[in-house]
Amino acid sequence: MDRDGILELLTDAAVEVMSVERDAVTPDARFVEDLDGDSLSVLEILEILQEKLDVDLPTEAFDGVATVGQAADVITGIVSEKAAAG
Amino acid sequence: MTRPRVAITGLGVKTPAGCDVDTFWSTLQAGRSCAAPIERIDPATLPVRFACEVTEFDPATYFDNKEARRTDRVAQLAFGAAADALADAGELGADPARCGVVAAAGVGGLITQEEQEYNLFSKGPNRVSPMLVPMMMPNAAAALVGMKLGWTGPNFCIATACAGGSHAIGEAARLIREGSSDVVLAGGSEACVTPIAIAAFARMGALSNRNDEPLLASRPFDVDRDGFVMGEGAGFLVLEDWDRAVSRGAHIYGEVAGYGRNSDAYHVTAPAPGGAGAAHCMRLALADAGLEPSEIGHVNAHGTSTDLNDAAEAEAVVKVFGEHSLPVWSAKGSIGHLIAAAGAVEAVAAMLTLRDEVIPPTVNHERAEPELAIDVVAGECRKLAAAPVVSNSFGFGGHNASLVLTPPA
Repeated sequence: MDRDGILELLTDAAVEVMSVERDAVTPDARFVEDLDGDSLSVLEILEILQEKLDVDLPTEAFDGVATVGQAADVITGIVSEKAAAG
Repeated sequence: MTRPRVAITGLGVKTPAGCDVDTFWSTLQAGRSCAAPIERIDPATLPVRFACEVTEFDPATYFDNKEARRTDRVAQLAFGAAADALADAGELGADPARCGVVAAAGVGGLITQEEQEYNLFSKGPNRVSPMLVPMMMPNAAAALVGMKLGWTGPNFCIATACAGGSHAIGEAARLIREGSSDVVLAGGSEACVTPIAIAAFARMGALSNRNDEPLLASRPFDVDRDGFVMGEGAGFLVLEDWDRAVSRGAHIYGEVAGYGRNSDAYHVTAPAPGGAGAAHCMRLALADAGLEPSEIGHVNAHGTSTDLNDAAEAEAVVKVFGEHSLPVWSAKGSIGHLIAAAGAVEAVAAMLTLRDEVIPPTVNHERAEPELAIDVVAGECRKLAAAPVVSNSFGFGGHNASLVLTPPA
């Protein structure tokens, strides 16, 4: 799955977890400051993405991630590594 | 200085018999069993395939999606019942720092725990939900109620298995008596109609296995009883300092007049021989209330429909009150065994028996066991002038709790 597809999944999950409007979930939106998230929200979103993508998303890989776009970058990297490893 | 009295000013339930107090009470009075084939999970491979489930509860009534995702059913049922009790109590005008929560839980968020254990074993540790700990911990319901209401007074969980609901009410009453709270939401909740819980209770022989006749399965004190029926749900009561309840013009259902608690210290699941622990517990509650056995109108029994509990409790009642001396009723024939919620839901029922001066029938109690010399209310409702009631709960571990609940006066 490409980055756009992952952004779409992230947007779905953010709407579900944080009860925010879909339009608010832009790549630049920050999970905590802009989307009313808290320290657990990102973990909940990653949990949903793990299920959807059937891939492990280790929490450590998201250190320093603040925005939806940054999360999409990290997930895209993990997904393509897994695809390359076959 | 006389000790503060404890008024009951609000009631709330989420039960197999209904998710509001009126529906709950009319189901009990109708003498209807709520046991049915399990719906929430597929019970096909389980040894026992029926239970008393809560079918009318909609979390969306109380939670937005964000909150609902982060809470197990056991906490959701608890808050629903607590919120209803609070609404029933009217405008409290209380200082949040003087408002407390005491909530009993048997096993906590077992539904979530089982789902996540499946993830652990089938997909690995990285697939375990980051929300598992706050959803499975037994104190999650107490925490949720406190957080949603912004109540910053005493807040804790009671874990004494099937005795928890009564312990919660008793300990809450003590908070008011000792002066550390003005208002306490006290109750219990349970949601363990899950494969592991059904399998485990069935394996130990505690559950009725009348899979072909669920409606007849829960039969407290009946000679043909063969175990309890798993229930789920929640009950909460608003306990309040009596004088403040009177001065704000609250409707007072009655009073928590006495509380006894002790331990069998005998066996992890079986009651002490002859119901010795239970009898002593009831006597402690009577002494705390300053009442004689002859002043008690009826017993709201634990009455689980298991062979050992019902025999021991009947013997205990005879020890304290004498043979066939007062009416005994168990709600569990109708709603099954709500584990840690049982004592709280049954205390709600006890307040309604006092309000309406009627005791519902013990469902499925058809043939009394000759050795059990107690007068079980069965077949139809029985009229009884409002008088103090003893409400019992006994838990695995030998934990006993008895309450003396009295009409307003």
